[in-house]
Amino acid sequence: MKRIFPILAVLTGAFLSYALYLALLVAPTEQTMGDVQRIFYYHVPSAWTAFLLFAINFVASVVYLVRRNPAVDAIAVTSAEVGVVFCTIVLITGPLWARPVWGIWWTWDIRLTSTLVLWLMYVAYLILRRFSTGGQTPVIAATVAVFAALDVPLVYFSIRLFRTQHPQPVIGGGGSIDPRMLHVLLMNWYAFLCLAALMFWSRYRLEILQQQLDEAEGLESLEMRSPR
Amino acid sequence: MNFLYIAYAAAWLILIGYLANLALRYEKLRKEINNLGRETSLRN
Repeated sequence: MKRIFPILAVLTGAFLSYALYLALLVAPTEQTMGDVQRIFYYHVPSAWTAFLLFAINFVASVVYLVRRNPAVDAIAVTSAEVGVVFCTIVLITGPLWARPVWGIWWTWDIRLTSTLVLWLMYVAYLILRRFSTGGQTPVIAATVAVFAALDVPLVYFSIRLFRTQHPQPVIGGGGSIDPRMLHVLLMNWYAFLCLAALMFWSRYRLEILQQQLDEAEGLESLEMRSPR
Repeated sequence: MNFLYIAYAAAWLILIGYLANLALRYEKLRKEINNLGRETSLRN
């Protein structure tokens, strides 16, 4: 597996470069917004990737609460962390698109606010994982994750259920998109998924190693305490 | 046009920053594992 990783990393890098080329140079320019609309090719795939990772975190957290398997807990923490990375991109690229198009950086609209709340909840989850040292930390974190995941459908459906300033969904939401734009959007999403998979793999290995080290250190301290 | 480049640059900065952070954590963990191995072998 160690030999495959660098090959996959190079392939993913090439795919991301190709997707960037498509987004900047090949996709047609939108008539009303102009070039700034191209932010959409990073904003939307990042959001979809973050939602997918938070969904994995939800499933892993539920499974952990039932089975208490440390490997499943590692999947949960990994998906939350990588999901926060992509959600951060969503929250930064969104205002950078809104400023020239809406004339404002931010508005307390349901879509924007629920996305910010989602990010804050998963950041809180990661802080809990990082600084809590008790044996019950994975259980508490899994419970927090189950509640945090409830915000994902709210974010997704908020633009259908409420009146909002955010644009309607381009796929399955009544909106229309040029097929060339859709192609570029999907290529960028696939490239982001490849990158997310590599990040997930690296972070998961790190978490498993950390668990093994903690276990070894625990055994070590027990050996030191016990009389010979 | 500036907003577009700033958005793309910010996205790449976040991704590269996270990858660098992962690499640093790997390095730190590797050192901790080596130290633990050394301590164990010294005691035995």
